[in-house]
Amino acid sequence: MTKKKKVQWFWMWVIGSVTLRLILVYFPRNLNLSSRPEVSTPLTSLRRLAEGYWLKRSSMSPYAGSMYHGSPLLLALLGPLTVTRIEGQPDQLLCSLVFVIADVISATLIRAAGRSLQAAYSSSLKVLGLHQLSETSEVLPSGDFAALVYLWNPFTIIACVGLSTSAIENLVVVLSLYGACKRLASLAAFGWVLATHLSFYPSILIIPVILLLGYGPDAPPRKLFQRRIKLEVGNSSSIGSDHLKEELKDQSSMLKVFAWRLVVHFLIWILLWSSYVLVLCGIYLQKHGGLQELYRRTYGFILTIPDLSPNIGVLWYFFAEVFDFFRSFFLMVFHGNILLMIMPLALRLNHRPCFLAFVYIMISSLLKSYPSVGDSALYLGLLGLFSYELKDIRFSFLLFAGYVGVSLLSPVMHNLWIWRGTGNANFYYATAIAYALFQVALVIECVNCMLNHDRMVTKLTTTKLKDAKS
Amino acid sequence: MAEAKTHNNSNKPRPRILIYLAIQIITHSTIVSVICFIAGIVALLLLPVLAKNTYISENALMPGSATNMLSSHDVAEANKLVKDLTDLKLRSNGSPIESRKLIAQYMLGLDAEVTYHNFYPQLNQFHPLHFFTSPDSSIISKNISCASIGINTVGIIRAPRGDGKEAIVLVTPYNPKKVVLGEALSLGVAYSVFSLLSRVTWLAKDIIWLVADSQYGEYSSVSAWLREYQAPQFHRVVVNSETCNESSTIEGNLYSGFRRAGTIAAALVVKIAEDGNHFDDSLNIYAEASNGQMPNLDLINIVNYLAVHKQHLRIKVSKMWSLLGSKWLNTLGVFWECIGQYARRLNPQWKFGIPANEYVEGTATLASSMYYQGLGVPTGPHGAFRDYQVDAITVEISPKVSPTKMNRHIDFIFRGGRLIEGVVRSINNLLEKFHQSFFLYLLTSPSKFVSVGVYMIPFALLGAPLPIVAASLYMFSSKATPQAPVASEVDFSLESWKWINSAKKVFVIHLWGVAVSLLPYFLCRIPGLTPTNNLTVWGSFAVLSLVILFSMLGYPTSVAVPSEAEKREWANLKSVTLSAIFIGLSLMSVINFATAEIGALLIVPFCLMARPLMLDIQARSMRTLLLATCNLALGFIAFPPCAFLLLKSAFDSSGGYNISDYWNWMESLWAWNSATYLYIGIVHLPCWALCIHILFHPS
Amino acid sequence: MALLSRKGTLFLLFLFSIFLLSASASNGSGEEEEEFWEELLLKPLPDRKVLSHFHFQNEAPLSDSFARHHHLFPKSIAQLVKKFHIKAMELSFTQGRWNYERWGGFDPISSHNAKPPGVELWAVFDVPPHQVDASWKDLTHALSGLFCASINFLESSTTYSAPKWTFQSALGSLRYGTLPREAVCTENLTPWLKLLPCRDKAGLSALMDRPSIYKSFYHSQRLHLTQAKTGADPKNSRVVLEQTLTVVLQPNILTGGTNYVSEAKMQPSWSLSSIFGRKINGRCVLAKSSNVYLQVERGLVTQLENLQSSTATFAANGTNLDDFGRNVGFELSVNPDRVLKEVEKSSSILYEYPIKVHKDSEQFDLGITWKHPVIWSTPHVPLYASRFLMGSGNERGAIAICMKSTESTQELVAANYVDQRCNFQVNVLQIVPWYIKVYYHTLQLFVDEKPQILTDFVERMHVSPSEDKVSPGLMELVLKLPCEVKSAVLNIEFDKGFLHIDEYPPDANQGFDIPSAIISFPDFNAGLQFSDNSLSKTPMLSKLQERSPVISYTEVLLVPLTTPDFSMPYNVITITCTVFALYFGSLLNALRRRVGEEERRLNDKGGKKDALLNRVLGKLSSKFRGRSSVSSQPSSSSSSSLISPKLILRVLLVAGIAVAWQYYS
Repeated sequence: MTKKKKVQWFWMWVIGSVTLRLILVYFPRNLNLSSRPEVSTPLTSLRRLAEGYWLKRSSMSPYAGSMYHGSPLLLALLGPLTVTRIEGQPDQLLCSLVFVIADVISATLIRAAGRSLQAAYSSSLKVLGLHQLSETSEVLPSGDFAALVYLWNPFTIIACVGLSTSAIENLVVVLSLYGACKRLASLAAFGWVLATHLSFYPSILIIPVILLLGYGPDAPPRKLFQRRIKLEVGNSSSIGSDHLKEELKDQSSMLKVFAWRLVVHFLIWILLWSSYVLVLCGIYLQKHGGLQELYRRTYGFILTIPDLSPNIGVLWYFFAEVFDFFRSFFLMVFHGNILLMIMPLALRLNHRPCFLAFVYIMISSLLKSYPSVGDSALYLGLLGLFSYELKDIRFSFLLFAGYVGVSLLSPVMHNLWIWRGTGNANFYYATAIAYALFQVALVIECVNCMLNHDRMVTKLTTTKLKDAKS
Repeated sequence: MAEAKTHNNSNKPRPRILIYLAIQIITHSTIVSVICFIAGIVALLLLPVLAKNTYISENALMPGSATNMLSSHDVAEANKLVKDLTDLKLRSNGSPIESRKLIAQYMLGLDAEVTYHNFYPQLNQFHPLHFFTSPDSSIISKNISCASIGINTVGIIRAPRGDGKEAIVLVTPYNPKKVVLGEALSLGVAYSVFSLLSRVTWLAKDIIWLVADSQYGEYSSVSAWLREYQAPQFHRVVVNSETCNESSTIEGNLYSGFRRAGTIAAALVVKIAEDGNHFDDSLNIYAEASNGQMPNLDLINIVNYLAVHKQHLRIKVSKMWSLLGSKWLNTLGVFWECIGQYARRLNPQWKFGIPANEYVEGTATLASSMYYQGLGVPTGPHGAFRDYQVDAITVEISPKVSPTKMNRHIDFIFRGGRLIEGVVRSINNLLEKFHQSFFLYLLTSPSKFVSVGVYMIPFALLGAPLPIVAASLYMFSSKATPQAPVASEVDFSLESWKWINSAKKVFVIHLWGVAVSLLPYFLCRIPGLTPTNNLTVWGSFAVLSLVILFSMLGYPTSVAVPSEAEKREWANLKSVTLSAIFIGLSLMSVINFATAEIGALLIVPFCLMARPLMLDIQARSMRTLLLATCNLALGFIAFPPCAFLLLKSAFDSSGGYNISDYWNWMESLWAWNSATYLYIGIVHLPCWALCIHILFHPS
Repeated sequence: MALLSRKGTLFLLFLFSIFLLSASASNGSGEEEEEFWEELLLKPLPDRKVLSHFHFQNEAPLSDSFARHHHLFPKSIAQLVKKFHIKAMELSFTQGRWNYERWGGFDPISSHNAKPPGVELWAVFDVPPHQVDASWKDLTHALSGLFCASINFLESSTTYSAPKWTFQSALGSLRYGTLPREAVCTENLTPWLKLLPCRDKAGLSALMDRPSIYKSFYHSQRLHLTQAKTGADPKNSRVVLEQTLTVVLQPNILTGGTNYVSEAKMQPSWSLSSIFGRKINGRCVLAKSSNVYLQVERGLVTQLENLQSSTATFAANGTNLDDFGRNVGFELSVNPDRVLKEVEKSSSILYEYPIKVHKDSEQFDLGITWKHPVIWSTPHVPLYASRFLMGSGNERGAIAICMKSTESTQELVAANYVDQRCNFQVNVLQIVPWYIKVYYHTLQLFVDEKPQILTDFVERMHVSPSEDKVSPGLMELVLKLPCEVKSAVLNIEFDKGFLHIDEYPPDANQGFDIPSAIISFPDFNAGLQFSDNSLSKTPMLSKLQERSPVISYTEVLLVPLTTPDFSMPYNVITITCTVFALYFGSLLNALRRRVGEEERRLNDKGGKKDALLNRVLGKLSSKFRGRSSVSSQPSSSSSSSLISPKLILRVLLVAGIAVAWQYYS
C-alpha cells in the first residue's frame, strides 16, 4: 500500500511539472530561451529546423545553406508544426506541446525501466542470500525518483521550453534502454536506430544494450553467483536429497547465461529498422543529393566541427583558436577519447549494463561536439535510477553546488560578453571549463561509488560463504 | 574539534604537504577567515594607493594632434542661435513648436538632413530580467494623447567622402517648454561644432546631432530615439497620431521619415550647468550606465586629456564630499604616506604611497564611483547608449559664473566647442570600435583608475572565508553522527545526502525572497499609497510570510532536549547558507562588482559569525556573551533598511532620516531595472533571514 | 613660356603622327576602323554642387587574331575580351555616396553612374557554364593587375555570386562581386586614363586635375565593355568600351550656413576653370567628336519658366531659354551651338558645345553665372530605399530594407489613375556574406506599416542560401507594389557567425561589411527623348536616350562581430587538453584498481586511517573547488579524487602568481 501512495503523489508531481512547463511556454518571450546557446545548439535549435523546412518547401535541399543539420524525419515530423500559427497563442505552441509530451513519455519510460531494474536487483540479491540488502534496496523507489528528477530538473524544463529537439533525442534513447530492460528486442532496436540516426553519439549504446539483452538487467558481479552455486552444490552433495537438487537447478538457472537468441533478434531488428529509416530518408531527400548528402550534412557536421558558435562545451573555443594544421589531429583525439573509454568500462561494468549505458551517455554528453543542457538533463535523470547503489556518493553537495553555480554563472558571462560587450570570450569559456570539470568529477565519482558498492556486496557474500562453510 | 584533528594527525603517517596545509587551513578556519577578512578590508582601503595613471591605449585616437578648426564665424552663428532662442522665450513665452522650428532652420542652414522624431514617453516599468534580455522595441501603452507626445529634433551630416557605415552622436537635452539659458548654451556649443563639421573634409563618420526633448526626462527621450534607431516597430499601433504629427513636417526635405546613419561608434552628451561654481570653468564627467556598466576608459581619457591640456578646464568626477573632511581617513592617508616613504628609503625603485590629501581625495572619488556603480542607475542620458554597446559619456561644463550673469558667451562657447570638436575628431580617427582599453574599472580621480585585476583582490579576500568555514562546519556536522556499521538495516541513512534538508530550507527561503522582491510590482499598481504605507504593507507581508514559512518548515522551538543530530543541524544549515551566499556574491560580482563588494562588506561578517545564541548563553563566559552581542549588532547592521539608513546618515550630511526614504530608494532601483534590487531581494535578504534563523536556533 | 611652347610643338608633332597613322588605318577596309568619342556633361545640382560627367567611348572590331595592331583601342582590353570571352563587363571604382535625395535618381546618369562605394565588378561570359567561374577568377586577377586594385579578392567564391534575373537580366552567365572597403585613389585613375588614346594630355581628359577631382563629394570611375553584334556572323562584331568618370564638385568650398533665413540660396556661379582649375585647350584630335554639354534639368526648367512668366520683361519674347542663356535665371559665358530639348513640355534642355581643334589663342572655358536664386528638386527614384541593421548585441540581428514613396510614384498614380488597380514592379537583390547566417523563413513584408502575407506581393523569389566558408547568400525578390503605396519594409533576421581566428582581418574590431542591395524598377525607365533624333547621335546622347530601368543602390552596412581573444591559443589548447587528460586519467585510474584493493579491503579491518584521509581529501578538494564541503565515506580508497584537487591547486597557484606578477610589473 505504500507503493500505491507513492504512485498517487507521483502523478500529482507529473501534472505539476507539465503545468509549470505550460506556464513557462506562455511566459512573455523576452526571456527568449530558444536562442540561448545553452539550449539551442546548431543540431537542436528549432529555428534552424524551421529554416530547413522552409527551404524544403521552396523546393531546395533542406541542408542547403548549412543551416539545418538534423534528420529529415524530424523535419517531416516537426516542420509542419513550425509554420502553423494559432491566433492569440504563442507561436511554436504546437512544437512545445510535442516536447512536453515527449518529456512526459520519457519520464514514464524511465519509471517503468527503473521498477524492473529494482525488482531484478533485489531478487538477485535474495539469490545471493543478502536479504537485508534486498529489503533496503526496495525502500527507495528509484524508478519514480528518477522520473521525477528527469521531469523537475531545471535543465529539462529549460530545454523543453526553449524548443530544443533534444527532448525527442532523449526520448528515443530512453526508449531503447526501456526496451532492453523489458527484453523487447524490437523496441530496443527501434530506439537505438532512431537515437543513432538523430544524434549519432548514442551509437555506442549498442554495447550496453546487447549486454542488457544478453545478461539481463543489473546484478552483482557474476562470479559471486558461481561461488554460491559451487557452495550449494558442495553442500547438497554432502547431504544428497532430491528436492534440494531441484532447487539447485533453478538456482543455477538463475546464474545467467548469455541469451544469444535475443541478441540475434536484436541485430536482425536493427537491420530492419535501419534499412527502413534509410529508405524513408532516401525518399525524402530523393531530389536533393540523397543519402550521402544526408551523411555529409549530419554526421559530417557532427564529426568535423565547423560551427564555432559558443555552447556550454569547450570545443567551440578550442577549434576557434587552434591552428588549422592541427585541427584534424585534435578532432581525432577528442572523438577517440570517447571510443577509448568504451572497452575498459565495458569490461569492468559488464554485469551492470544499465549503469554502463548511463556512463556512456554521460561521457558522450561531456565530450560531444555540440553539447546542450538537454544532454545533461538526460544523464541527471538516469542518475536517479541508481539512487540505491549511489546513495553514498562522495562530494554530492559539492557537485550540486557546482552545477547550480555554473548554470547560474554561464548566462551572466554570456550576457557580459555578447550583449554588454564589456567581457570577452574567455569569460564564457571559463564557465564552460568549470562545467566540464564538474561533469568529470560526477562521472568519476559515480563509477567509483558503483565499484565500491560491488566491493561491499562481494565482501558480504564472501563473509556469508565463509561462515556457511564453517 | 581542532585538537582532536591534530591528535588524529599525530598518530598517522604525515600526509603530503599540500594536504597537510589544507588540513591546517580547514581546522583553523576561524583564524584563517578572520585574517582573510581583515586583509580584504585593508586591501580595499589600499585601492586608492594602488590606482594607476590612465593612458590612451588606442593609438588611432591621437587626441589633440590636429589644430582646432573651430572658427569665430561658427561661434558667432552659435551665439546668434542662443540669442534667438532666448528672445523666442521672451517673445512668445516659449511655444515648443517655435523653438523646434528655429533649431530645425538652423540645422537646414548647414545642409544637414533634419527630421523630427515623435515619441511617446513611457515611464520605465519593472522588468526583472532586463539585464539578461536584449533591449527590445517596447509596447506603447494605449492611453496616450497628443499632449504627451515628445518630439526630438535630429540633424544628420553625411561625411563627404565617407561610406556612411559609422556615425557619431552628439546629444543636447533641451526642454522646449521652458528654455533655460544653460540648455540654450549647450545647444549653442553643439551648433558651433555642427556647423564646423558641415564644412570640413576630413570627416569619415556621419555626425548625428540629437536635440533631445527633455520635458519628460532626458533619459526617456534619448532611449526612445535609440529604440527607434535600433529596433523600430514597423507595424505602427494607430493611436490618434494624425492630429499629433502636424508639426513633424519640414520643408526642404524629400520625406520626413526617421533617418539613420550607420553603426553608432560613440555618443557624447553635452550639458551646461545652470549655476556657476565660483572657482573656475570646470568639467564634470558622468559615465556610469545601468548596472554599473562603464564606457571604454579611452573615451574618458580623451575628454580628460583634451580638457586639461588643450582647453585648461578643471576635470571633476563626483566625490563623496562627506568623506573629504573625515579625520580617520586623513590619519590613514598619513599612515600610508609614512609607509611609502619608508619603502622608498628601503628601495628607491618602489613607488608606493601617495600624499595624504591625495589619498583622501582618491578615497572619496572611489567611494562615490563605487556607490554609483553599485546603485546600478544610469547617471545621465548616456546610460541609454550602453544598452546598445555604444560607448557614451555625459560632459557637463559648469562655468565659473552662472550663464545668466555671464557677459561673454562667445568665448565660453569657443572653449566648449573646441573641446567637443577635439573629441569628435579623435573618435573620427578611430578605425575599429573602442576595444583597446578597459571596460571594468573604478575611477579614483579623472586621471587615475583601478582595473578589474586589482579591485578583485579585496573581494576575493572577503569571499574566501565563506567556503573554508562552510567546509569546516560541514565536517563538524558530519563528523558528529556516529558511523553506522555497514550492511545493517540502519544502513539506509543517506549519509552523504544529509544536506538535502538544509538545502530545501535554503531554497524555500530564497523563494520567499523572490516573492518579497516581486511584491512592489503589484503594490505600485494600487493608486494613492504613500511610500510609508507601501513600506509598511511590504514589510508586514514579508514578516508574515516568513513566519508562516518557518512554521511550515517546522521551526524547532518545542523541542525540549534536542538530540545530537538537531544540535548539529544548525551547522549543516549554516554551511549550506554560506555556500549559497558565496554563489550569490560571486554571481553579483560579475554582474555589478560594486554591489557585490558592498554587499560582501555587509553580509559576510554576519554570516561568518552567526551561531545560535543558546550556545553562547549556556556557556556563560565573557567571550561568548561578547560574541552574542556582536552577532546581534551585525545582524542589525546587515538588515537592508538599517544598512541603508546607516549609510545614508553616514554619507550625506543633510539630516532627516525618514523610513520612507528606503521605499523611494528601492522604487528608484526597480524602476531603473537595476540588478542591485534583485541582489538585495534574492541574495541578501534570504541569507540574512537564514542567519537570523541560525542565531535563534535552539541548541 | 618658351619651354611650354616647345612642349606644345612636340606634342603637336606627336599628335600629328598619330593622326596620320589613324588616317592610314582608317582608309583600310571599311569595317576595320576604330572610333573614339569624348564628351563631357555638366549639370548644376540643387544643393549648389555641380555634376560633371566625362564619357569616353572607344569602338573596335573584334578580330580573332591576338596579334592584331590597334590604333586607338587599348590592346590590353582587347586581349581581355578575346582571352576570357567576355560578352559584357562593368568595373567601377567609387568613392563617397551618391545622394539620391538631392542629386536625383531617376535620370539616366544617376541610374547608370551611381555606384556603391568601393569596387563593383560584374561580367558576362559566353563560355560553357562549367568554365564561367574559372574565367571569372582569371579576369579578376587580370583586372587587379591592370588597375592596381585588390580586385583579386573577388576571386574567392565567398565574395561573388551569380544573380539570376534581378540584375542585368537576360545577359547569360553573369557573375557579380563587390569590394565595399576598397579605397579609391589616383593610382586607380592613372591606368584608367592610360586606356584613352591621348591620355590626359589633350582633349577633355586634360581637365582631370587630380586634387580637384579627389576633393569631390562623389567620384566614380567606370569602365563598361560590351560586344555589339552588328551583323549576323560573329566576324564583324565590335567591342564597345565606354569609360565614364562622374564627379560631383562643389564650386566654392567655403559655404558656411551663413544666412539661414534667406530661404532661397543663390546658386554659386562657376566655370570650368573655377571647378577644375584648368581650361580645355583643344580637343583630342583622335576623337571623332568631342563635345561639352550643359544640362538644365526638368525641375530647373519649370522653375525658370515660372520665374520668367512672373517677371514681365521676359514675358515679351515668348521663346526663351533656347535663345542662348539670355534668360532670367542664369547667364552662360559661351553661346552653345545647339540646344536640344526634350519632346514634352517643360523638360530638360541640353546646350551643346563642340570643341574645336587646338588653337593657342583661345581656350574653351564654359561658365555660368546665376542671376536669381532658384530652388528646384531633381526627379527622384520611385521608391526611396534605405537599409539598416536592427537589434543590438553580437548574437543576432535583422536587416531591414525600407522603401518610401516619393513624388514620382505619385506622378505614376496620377498618370494611370484611370484603372484603380495599378501595380509596379520592384526588384530587390540582396547579397549577404556567409558569416551573416540569414533565416530566410523570417522574411517579413510590411506595406504601409501593416504586416502582409508575402505571397500577395512577392511575384517571384529566388534564394540561394549561403554555405559556410563557401558561398555568400543571395536573395532576389520581385515585388509587385500598388502605385499608391506609401512605404514598404522588408525585414529578415540573421545570426552572427563566429569565425576562426585566422578568418578575421587585421582590424577585426571594425566589423564586417554587407554589400549594398540593388533596388531596380523595370517599369520606370530613365531616359530623355530629344526632339531632333535626326541629328548626329554621339554615344552619350544615345546613352541618355536609351530606355533603361531605374536602378538604385542602398547603403553599405557594417556588422560588428564578436572576436575571440587573439592572444589565447596556447592557453586554450593547454587548458582544454588538461581537462580531458584529467577525465581520462582519473577514470582509468578508478577502473584499474581491482584485486589487490579488494584483498586488502577484505583482510584489514583498520580502515580508519584512510577513512580519515578520505574525509580530509573530501574537504580538501571541495575547498579547492570553492564550494562548501561534503562528508566523505570511509568506504573507498581515494586516489582518484587525489588528482583533481592537486591540479586545481596548481592552477590556483599559477593564477595567484600571475596576479602578483601583473600587479608588481
